[in-house]
Amino acid sequence: LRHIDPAKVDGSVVRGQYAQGHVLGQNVPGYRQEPGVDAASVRETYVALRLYIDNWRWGGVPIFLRTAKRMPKKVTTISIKFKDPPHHLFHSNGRTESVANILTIRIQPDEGISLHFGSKIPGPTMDLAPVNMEFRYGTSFGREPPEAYERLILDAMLGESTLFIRDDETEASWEFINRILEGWQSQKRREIPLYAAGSWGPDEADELIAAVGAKWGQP
Amino acid sequence: MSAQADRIVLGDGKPVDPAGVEAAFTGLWREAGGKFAGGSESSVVRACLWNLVAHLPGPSAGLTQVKRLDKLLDDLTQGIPSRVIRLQSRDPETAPKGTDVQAWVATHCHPNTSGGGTVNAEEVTLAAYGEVGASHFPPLVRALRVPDLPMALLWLHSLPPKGRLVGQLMQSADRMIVDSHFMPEKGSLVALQYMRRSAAAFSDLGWMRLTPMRYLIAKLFDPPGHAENLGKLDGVEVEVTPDGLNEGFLLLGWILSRSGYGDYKAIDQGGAKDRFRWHVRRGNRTFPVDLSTRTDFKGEDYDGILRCTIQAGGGRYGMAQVDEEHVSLESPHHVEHHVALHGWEDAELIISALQGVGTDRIYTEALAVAAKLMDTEAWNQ
Repeated sequence: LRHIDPAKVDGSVVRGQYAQGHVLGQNVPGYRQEPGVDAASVRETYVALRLYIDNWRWGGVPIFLRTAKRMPKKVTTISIKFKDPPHHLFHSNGRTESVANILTIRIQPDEGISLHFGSKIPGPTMDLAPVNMEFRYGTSFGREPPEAYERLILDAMLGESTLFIRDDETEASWEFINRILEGWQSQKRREIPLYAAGSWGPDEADELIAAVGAKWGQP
Repeated sequence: MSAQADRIVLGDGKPVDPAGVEAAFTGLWREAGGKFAGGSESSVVRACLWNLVAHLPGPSAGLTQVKRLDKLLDDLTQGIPSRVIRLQSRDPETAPKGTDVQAWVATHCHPNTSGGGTVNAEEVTLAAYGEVGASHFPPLVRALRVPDLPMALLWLHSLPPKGRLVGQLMQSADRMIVDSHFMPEKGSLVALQYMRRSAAAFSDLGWMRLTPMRYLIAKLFDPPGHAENLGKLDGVEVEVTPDGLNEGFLLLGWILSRSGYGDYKAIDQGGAKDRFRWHVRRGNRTFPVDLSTRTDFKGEDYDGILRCTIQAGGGRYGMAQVDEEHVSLESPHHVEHHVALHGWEDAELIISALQGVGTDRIYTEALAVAAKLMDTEAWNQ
């Protein structure tokens, strides 16, 4: 994993803090209005990162990661957007939009996998529309998989460590994150981008991903 | 809102907490699976192609409008598997204690007319009380839309109001669909012209309904030598029913923009209660453009264009509505008295809009000219 230079942290990392808003029908206060929080706090509740892995398989592939509190819903997904082909066969009629193929692995909730691709609309014209091909655990097996911690606690009791990270992985994670924290601390900022609770984050995060001609998925 | 209208909006919806909508859907689909195939849970596939977010009229709207939109959404979901999120703003005085927003869920399985399986729709109705309640709409839509599928915002009963609510909903939408026929406000097309610019893609059913009529008018200029006459306009007259004024403006906008008069100067305007005149000048050429309303048309269910006459190159080209489904055509080379006008149902128009890419460039140009005509003293005095 390519380390982020603390002096250039803003080029690869966006942070934010939630302001007052609405989440799933509830009015929620801003972070600074939460009980016990300093009214001038610049503590981040949102982070988006652009990462690169320097090996032959992932070389040149930007990896975007975002995590935050007070998003519209709690969801964990991994989306793999495939490269556009160099030649679009169906572009000539001007009515067909390029549809990127996206493989989405939904970790929770609604566990499953979906493949997003362009399909020809039935009929004589050569028009494409985006469609999803879905696999849902709940539908295919008639029941939802167990909660994540049910499985982990059982594994811990059985001494099965496959799903647990090792201490050297934890240390490597902190080494990576500490460089980002160093970069932020050296800036001594008194302001932080705000985003409304119930939104998908600050505009700066959209700009981070737009720099490579992409946009965040709609989870 | 009357109890009857409330029943139409909610249908057989089941009340749920907004945070419990997804869980409620899972339960409803399990029930549907059982009903359709004797208990096999995988027998109903939750296919979905679009998120359709439809704003419904508020408590002051008439029953007819509520019924029209309800039927339209029902027809739409029969043609396109989708999740429909209905948004309705209600009077804050009628809010249950401590409630800003309420939710109901329903699922509908329509037999597939082309054979095999069912076309499914998931419907969430969100009712918000007052402005505070309506501010819940954008985050709820973000949470409730089906992931990674496109979203269309349908605002088909009035001119969408300016402000953050519409702006935020439009920001999440891949297509905004409006209906200029239901916008009696004086500057509605001017407002639409601004709104269109901030939409990812924009469709107007008022414009799309003009398509068969536009084909017939354009056909008059197909014979060799007649297309050139469009560059030599001597006058344009459009007559509409009182509720069809926006269609009239759009038709004028289309004729002027397609004839090369998009970049014109409107001078010497005059206007009366039901008759408006602009003098259009471009280069050395000046000609009158008239828009008037007529109330004596016999077709009770018809609203829109009644007559369109174009004087060009010394010839007269015209189309006039005979009854609800027929028009007569006239040009220097040709007269036809009873030509069928093949209109489309609104649901078909919306499906066609959803299958399009971007905003219709011809509409964009026609709207710009129509908005310019509407933004003059002749119209606003």
